[in-house]
Amino acid sequence: MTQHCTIEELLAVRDGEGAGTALRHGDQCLACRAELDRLHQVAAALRALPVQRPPRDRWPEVRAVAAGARRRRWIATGWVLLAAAAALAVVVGVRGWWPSGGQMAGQRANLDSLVSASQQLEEALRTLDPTSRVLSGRAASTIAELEDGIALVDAQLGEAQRTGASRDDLLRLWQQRVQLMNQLVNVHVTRAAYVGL
Amino acid sequence: MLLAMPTMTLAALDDLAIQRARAGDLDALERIYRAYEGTVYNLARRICRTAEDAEDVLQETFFEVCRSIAGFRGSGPGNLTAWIKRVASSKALMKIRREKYRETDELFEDGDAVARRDPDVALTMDLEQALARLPDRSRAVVWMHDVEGYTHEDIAEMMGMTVSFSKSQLARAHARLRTWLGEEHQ
Repeated sequence: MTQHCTIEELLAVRDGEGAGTALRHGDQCLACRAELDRLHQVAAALRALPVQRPPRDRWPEVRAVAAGARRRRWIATGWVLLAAAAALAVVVGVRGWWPSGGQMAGQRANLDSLVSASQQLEEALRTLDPTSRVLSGRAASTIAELEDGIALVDAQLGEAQRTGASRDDLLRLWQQRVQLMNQLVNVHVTRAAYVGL
Repeated sequence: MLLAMPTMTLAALDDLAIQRARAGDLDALERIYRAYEGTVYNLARRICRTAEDAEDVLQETFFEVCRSIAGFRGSGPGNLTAWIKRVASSKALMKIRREKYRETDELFEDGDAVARRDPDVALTMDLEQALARLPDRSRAVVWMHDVEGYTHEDIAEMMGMTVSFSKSQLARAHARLRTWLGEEHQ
């Protein structure tokens, strides 16, 4: 090899992947050896550059999303149980607890439609995949508030099922759940539309 | 593969903390965040053009870490470092692709490949500026290869390009750095 090595060849030599001819030339040519030293120096200098630190603490935003994901997992699990319990209560009915006739049919239809609406909103939320998007602190806080509200309603629904609460109470709780879910989906839809995703 | 290990990571994290984080424990996740926020931000800041983009990469990386750590199968902080850096690199590369940063390859012609400069120039003085001046993909390749220790195969895979592309970007980046650093000291 009579010509000088190219930078690509010298980088390969530096990284232990050089071809035989480049290695031999590098051994004999002072200019190429100096260039090889320089490439080593640049890499060392790059590694020695000062570490840059984030100007702001992003943990609150990350925490809000991580906590939200955890709550959603819990809600999803709890929701399946609650929906199953609600469906069972509607199908079996309890004499003395459920009224008979047209009123019962109307309330059952209401409860069914609320459970169904809640299910559709959960599905809409999953489709939006909110954890894949960057959130502002304010949006994260609104979402956390709504998710806390939903978790609270779910806990009350669980308790209502366990203690055999009145159908009016159940309807009221399911209405609250649908309302909160609706607000949560709206926040995510607005965010998605805003960032064009 | 050479992967720079943040010194505080080993001291701050242990297998138990990682296991707790996998189970969704928020305190354990915060310990991981605190241990790696500097490493991730520094990597992102070197690849992205602006501090705001680097902050977004930091946030997106930890969203991903929190979402996926339950499926992380490695053990020990060493594996965790490699995994988190890989996530951060991917997010940073995605950011420079998405933002369609300036690609100034055509504006800077490579100098004479065999021109030689004095090797004793004070590199660190202007290296930061020279690095920032590189086209985005060249800067990403030089940082990931020369500092983070990724191979050309790794970089090609993460960038969705060929190994030759990675090698040629590295060579062009070094040619430019040599020219610019030399110019500054003449």
